Amino acid sequence: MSKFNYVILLFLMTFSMLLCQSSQAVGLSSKTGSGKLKVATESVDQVNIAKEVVFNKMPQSINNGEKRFNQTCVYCHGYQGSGGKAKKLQGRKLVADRLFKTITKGKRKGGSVMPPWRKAFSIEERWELVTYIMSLSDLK
Amino acid sequence: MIIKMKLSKRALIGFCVGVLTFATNAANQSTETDPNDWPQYHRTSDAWRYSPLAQITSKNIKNLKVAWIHQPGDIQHGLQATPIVVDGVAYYIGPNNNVFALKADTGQQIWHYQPELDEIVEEVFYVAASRGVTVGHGNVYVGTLDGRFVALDQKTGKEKWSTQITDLASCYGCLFSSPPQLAGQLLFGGTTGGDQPTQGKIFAVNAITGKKAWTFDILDKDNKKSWPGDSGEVGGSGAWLPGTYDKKSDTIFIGTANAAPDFYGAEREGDNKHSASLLAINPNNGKLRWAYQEIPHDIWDYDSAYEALSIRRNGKDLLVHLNKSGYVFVMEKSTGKLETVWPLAQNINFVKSIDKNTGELIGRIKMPVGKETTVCPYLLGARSWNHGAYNPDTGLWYTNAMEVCNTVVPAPQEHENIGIAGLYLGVSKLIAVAPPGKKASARLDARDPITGELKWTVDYPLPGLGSVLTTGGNLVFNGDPKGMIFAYDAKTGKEVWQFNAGSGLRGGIVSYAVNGKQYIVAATGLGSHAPGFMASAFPEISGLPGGAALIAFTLAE
Repeated sequence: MSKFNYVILLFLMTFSMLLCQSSQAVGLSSKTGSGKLKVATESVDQVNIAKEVVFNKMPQSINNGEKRFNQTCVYCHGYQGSGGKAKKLQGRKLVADRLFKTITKGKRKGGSVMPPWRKAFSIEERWELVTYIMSLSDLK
Repeated sequence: MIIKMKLSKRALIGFCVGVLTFATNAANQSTETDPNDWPQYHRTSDAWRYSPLAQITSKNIKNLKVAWIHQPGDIQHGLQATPIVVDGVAYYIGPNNNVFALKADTGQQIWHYQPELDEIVEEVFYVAASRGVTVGHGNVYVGTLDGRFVALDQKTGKEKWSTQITDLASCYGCLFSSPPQLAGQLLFGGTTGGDQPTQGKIFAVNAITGKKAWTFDILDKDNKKSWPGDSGEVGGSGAWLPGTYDKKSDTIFIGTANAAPDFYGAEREGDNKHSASLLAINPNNGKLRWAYQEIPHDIWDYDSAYEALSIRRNGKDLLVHLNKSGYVFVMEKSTGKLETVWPLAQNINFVKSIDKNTGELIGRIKMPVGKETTVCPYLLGARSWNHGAYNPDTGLWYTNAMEVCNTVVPAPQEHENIGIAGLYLGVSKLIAVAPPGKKASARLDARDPITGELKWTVDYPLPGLGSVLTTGGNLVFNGDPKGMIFAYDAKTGKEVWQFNAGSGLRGGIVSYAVNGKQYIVAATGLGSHAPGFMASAFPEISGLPGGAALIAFTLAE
């Protein structure tokens, strides 16, 4: 490897490490006036700060999450997460971070497909969904 | 050698019987259709899903065995296609727009088209599934998940042309989940996505070149009586099932989807034309010959997207058209004038009745905003999109049906904040429930298509979600979500055969013949979003396995 190539490689490695530190490239959506999707990155810090904000204003977050769930998720997951094609969301000990990740990235398993929601909902909106889904754990 | 000779003799007898039955039974059918083929989506443009082949009968069906199985290798949302068979070659589409050509007697693969789809297809609500391909002009046509019409070479599966029709990034859900259909040298098809804040359209291109010909705007959005304010800008609808082309009258018949937001109608007070309508379109210019709106100002998600069955009765050419609402509208084919209306569903409360002469919806149920109302039938309809079949020998129409309602709380919804996979339903609560005081139920009905008179019925524990086939051998084939395929005597409804495919049916069952031997081929493998929503009414459907396999059957020697 020539000295020049080595310098370039070193530069690229450093640059990409910095990039990974500042953002773990999950998308963040915002909409333009035309309704077109504009996707930016969202950092781990942004996700964690939003989580704290949302979790600190229960039960309002749960109410917001419930409304969004009934508009968007009920078609596949059933009313109050009673289970459609997917496994019931009721009566389960679900982990908040994993729920957030699934909502963000979607899921493909066998014949079933859950689309990713990161372009549709803000970080806060996704955490609100998480709070509602976790509130279903007492239902049987 | 002796065995081979015996086989040939049997095959020859079968072929002769088949041809003879075709000649006597199919007087109403286009004589251009080879009895051995299943050349288009419903086999013929009258949407009968009737094969005149008569080698397989109730007497010999006990010998019906698996001939071959073809698996597309991807099971996302199951196998929803109706296979096409022309000259001994079967064409079908699997999940994610993978297209296959197979030898129809052995299942041996001739070619496989692997599409390059835009990555946006992974973001949308209506993922993975397609209902079929169309064959003609030496091409195999596909409507893609990323909003294109594509022509493949029928012999090689290589792409000939690809025309981008819609932009999914700005028009959520505006993809093609059904095969575009041929009207001579024109290829036409409508958008999916009626439950999203879009503007449903029907498009036509030149089938030879792929050049755009015309676009029909389903929403009459500039008519402010029909769509007040800007409501028509996000009024939904679409035409998500294949239309049919009647060569004699040179007319396209195609049904349209519901208006959006589905259950919240306060911001679109008006009839919301041409949602929930059956359209007759002149293929030469894309203009309406006539339109019949079955559900003016629909606020219950009652699409009119289903097949238009064409039947001649007492000297009249009629169209028989099931609406999701559970009512069957019978119209004069040339004018769209209403002939009669009859209910397929037993539990209907969205209206008190529909006037048989005028089609007026009498006693519409009120849907107060913010309050619970239980509406029957539910949003998946008295039947899902899977098609019925009509047999000219018995004069009966065979169709799946179900009795389910939904409890709804209508609510305003900001369409600006709906993501690409989000739905514009206009609800704050939505749940499928049994009809009040009863159990949710399902059945296969055999009815007179004009009067609705019930000739026989078979109860199903879970609603049939696959399309029905009927044959010249006096048989009816139907599948259930568990994967059971049943055959019935077409006249009596007596069960004469069954087979367990292992995963439910959501596509079509068709019949064809190769070298004088009749085959039945079933698209098996459960998928789609529907089972998810119906699970609260039919808990048993939850957790049923997905799959995808094309299974062919023929008589054992």
